[in-house]
Amino acid sequence: MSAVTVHPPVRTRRGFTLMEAVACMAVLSAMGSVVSTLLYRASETFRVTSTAAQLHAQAAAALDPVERLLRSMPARPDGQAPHLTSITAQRIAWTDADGGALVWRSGSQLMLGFGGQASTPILSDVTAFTVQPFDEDNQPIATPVSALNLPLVRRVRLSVTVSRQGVSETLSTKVFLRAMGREVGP
Amino acid sequence: METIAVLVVLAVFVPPALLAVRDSAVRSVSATLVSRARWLATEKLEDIIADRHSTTRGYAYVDESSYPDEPAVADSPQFSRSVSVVETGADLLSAGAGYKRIAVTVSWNDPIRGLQSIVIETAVTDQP
Repeated sequence: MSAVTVHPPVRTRRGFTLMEAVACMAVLSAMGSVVSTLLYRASETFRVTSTAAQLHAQAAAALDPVERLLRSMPARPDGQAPHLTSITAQRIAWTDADGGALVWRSGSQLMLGFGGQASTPILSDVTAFTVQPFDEDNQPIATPVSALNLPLVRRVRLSVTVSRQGVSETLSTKVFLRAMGREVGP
Repeated sequence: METIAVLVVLAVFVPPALLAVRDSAVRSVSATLVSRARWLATEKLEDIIADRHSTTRGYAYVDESSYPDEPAVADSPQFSRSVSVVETGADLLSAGAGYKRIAVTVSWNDPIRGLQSIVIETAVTDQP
């Protein structure tokens, strides 16, 4: 009787050759570089566009009430013109029954103040704010507007630029000063 | 085998992730473009209403010829703006005189939706 010897199955296990490993690493690093570039570009685009959208929304939220206040500005007691009290390139002020209001830039903030009360910031990260008045014929009036020319102002263009993280957004609006509110007595 | 599995997983999940990021960015741009267009249209309407109330211009000045098309709006060249003025009767629908329907159209090219536009309308009368 012959003895039977059972051997475990021989399994030849072969690893990567050096060339295969190098080729694999090269492919992976190339793909990684492409993917990381795409990811960076996508995230950068997202950051820029979302920041711009955020800045636009904030500028719009700040200018919206200013626009309404300017539209409801009353006439002078003589009823001939809006009751503006001063306009410079970066500041506009007017009088109304509640003591008036003014909008101006202070440093990097756009401020809104109501007669005698402390002004409050309505927009931050402001890098530019300009006020451009126009007359009845839509011709620009030079700033600062003299007392003589103030009654000529009928339209005002406000332009604000806000910047954050290297992204800038400019929002402009033009308002017709209706001067239809109740007159303010002397 | 493991390498192939990793590559397959990357190939399946990375492109949609990138597209999602890009898509959300573009959509936020779309909303901002609509808002900008609204501001541009309102700005033009204010000018037209001011012209109507101007003592030197008045009702007669409010006409399409006074407001030529702007293929590229100043300061916002990606937008175009046009004004239409139609004189009507008191119902603002039938032909007539004494009333003008004004429509300001602002158009732009949206990266997703293509050519877009908004229209804001108002009416003026020849009554003081």
